[in-house]
Parts: sequence; C-alpha cells; structure tokens
Amino acid sequence: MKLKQQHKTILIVKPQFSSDVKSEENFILLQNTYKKYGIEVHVISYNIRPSYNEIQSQVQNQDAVLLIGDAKCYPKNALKFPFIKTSENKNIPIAWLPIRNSEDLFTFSKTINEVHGRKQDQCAVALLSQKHPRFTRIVDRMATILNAPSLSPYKWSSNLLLRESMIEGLESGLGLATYFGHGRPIGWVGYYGLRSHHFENKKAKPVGALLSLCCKTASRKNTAISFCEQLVLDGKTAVSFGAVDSTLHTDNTRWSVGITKALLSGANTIAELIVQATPKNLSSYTHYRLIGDPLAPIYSTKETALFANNIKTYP
Amino acid sequence: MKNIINTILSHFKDVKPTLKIESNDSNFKYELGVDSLDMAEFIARIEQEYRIEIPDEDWSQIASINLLAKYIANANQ
Repeated sequence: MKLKQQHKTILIVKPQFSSDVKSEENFILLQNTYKKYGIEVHVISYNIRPSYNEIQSQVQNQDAVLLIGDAKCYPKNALKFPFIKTSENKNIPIAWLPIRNSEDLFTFSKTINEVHGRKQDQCAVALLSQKHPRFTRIVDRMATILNAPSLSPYKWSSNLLLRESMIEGLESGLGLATYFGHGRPIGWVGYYGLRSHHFENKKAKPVGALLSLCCKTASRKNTAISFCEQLVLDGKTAVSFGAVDSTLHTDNTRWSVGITKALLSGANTIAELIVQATPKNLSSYTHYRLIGDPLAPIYSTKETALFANNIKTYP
Repeated sequence: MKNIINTILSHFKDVKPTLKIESNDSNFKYELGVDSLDMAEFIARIEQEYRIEIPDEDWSQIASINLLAKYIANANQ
C-alpha cells in the first residue's frame, strides 16, 4: 500500500464530556483512529472554550489543530481564520468540528478512518462550478494547468453534466473537489441548487476535502447547520472549506491560482494545500473556515480515478 | 527591473497565450483587450510569484506591463 501520510501531529481541543460517557468513548475512538495512521495526538480538554490566544500559545510543533465544540456555536464565532499563527509567524491550519451528540463523533471517526486508510495513489480532483462564464473559465484554466502525472483533474462544471452524475463521481471517494460559483448557507447555487440531502447514497465513500470557493456555505444565517458542516457531520467529506460571509470573485480567483500551484508542488493533505494556497490579502481568507479533519489526505485510489474517468459529461 | 518584466511577460503569456504585446506601455484593457477575468488570474499569479498583495483598488494604477513592474519593484522595497 502506497501511503503518502508522513508522521504528523494534531492538537485536539475538546470539551470535557464529564457526564457523557458515550461521547468520551467516541472521542477515544477518534484519538485512536488518528494514532492508527501515525498521527500523534495532543489533547486539551476545556470547560469554557479557550480563546484564540490561548490556543495560539499551545500550537508550537503541531501540524494542525482541531477544535471540537457544541454545534450551537457558529463557525464564524468558533474560529477567526482557517489557520492559526505560531509565535514564529507560521500558519497552522485549524478546523472546527461542531457536535450535536456522541453519534457525530462516531461518524467523524469513521470518515477519518476511511479517508486516511485508503490508498493514496492519485490526486483525483473534481473541478466544479456554476454554469456561468465567470466560473467555468476558472475550471477550464485549472484543468489546463493541472497537468502532472500524479494529478487527475475532472472538469465537471454544471454545464457539462447532470447533478446526479457529479454526485456519483464525488461519492466514489475522490480526494478533492473545488467549487466556484454562488453559494448560500444551505448549499451551492450551481447544479440547479445543490443541498446536503442530495448526497443520499448510504454506501458512498467520503470525499477527502470539499472546497466551496463561494459565499456563505459555512454561514448559519437562516439555517440550523450550514452546508459545509452538514456534509462533514453526515460523513460525506472528511473536511470542508467554506465561507461564513460574502466573498469576492477576485479573491476566489486568487484561491484558484494558489490551489493550482500548491497541487503542482505536491501538497497531499488539506493542511498543506490550505497553507500553501492562501492568498496574501486578508479579505481572501478572513471569511473562510475549515470544518472537519485538518489533516485529511487529498489523494485517493487509482480505482476512484478510473471510476471518475467514466462519469458521463456532455461537452 | 528587466527580470520583473520578463516574469510578468511569462505569466501574461500563460494567461493569454495568443496575445502579442507590441509595447510594454500598452494598456491591458484598452489596447490589449484583457478582460477583468484574465486580469484577476494574471494579478493572482503575480501576487503568488512575488508574495505581495495587490489590492483590487490598485488595479487601475497597474494598467500596463511597465506600470506593473514599477508597482512590484516598489512593493518589494
């Protein structure tokens, strides 16, 4: 088995599940899942959620941070940015995991086990967008530039295939998917309105990382749980990346250039991808949040790439 | 400055492979016909290359290759 996962460390900041034995058990399961794949886990338990500065003082020598907390807290308030700065000014990805009950931790552990445990042969990346020249152009450009033996880009803009086919492709366990277009707290505007309930196959394999480069898909406005959070809690993706507010097209173009460059330079986890791809200007990243596993691999199996090759598109 | 101009030209060629640039003073929008989408990608590539920030408000100041090269040189100082 060709695993690209190297030795990594993660700091998990979690609530004290003092009276909730089931949650504590499922948390230990999560911890053991990370350990199984060679990831060293450090844990901080809290009664009152620590502030950004308190977490910042603990992140030395960590590759990523996962903040677990009550789902009543919005992603916008849980984290400031998709990464946290160390005292040496190094960016470390930080992700939020909202939990409603012990079952959410169990589902998350299962997803982590699946994405970290599969062969990581190929970075099969689905390039998704709404049907509009402004967005399909980004997909076209990325597909042209992502020309390397380890990368398999799939141009699946909304004008090229049916929503059902696109979901079938994602559910084959792709490593990475990026979406450009308009977004809402309940989902994407593209694909005739994509919602989390459209991922209905119970036997589907989770996507490694699903990036929504659009407005508000991690925002809670007028919704209980945002689209980005729901996909992680349903085990449809190990990690999602979405905005808690409106974003600018120019900033999302900056992300597309950064992501392309990071993939070509060999990023193989969402942590590496986000840190390398983050544009320099504050407005590009200030609204984005990582939800789920900050160390999720973005590579998947050869079989997945072969399956994705056969997804019917209508050029 | 010559290095900067060469780098800009190479990125420009990637973004608009068919376009011929007669002069480094040609206006991106009015003389070279670069649209806002091309410009967004072009600027993003320059920002990545030089790890600088070019705010959207400054795009009007960098209307040609020479002006952009000067902007980058100033930003790197």
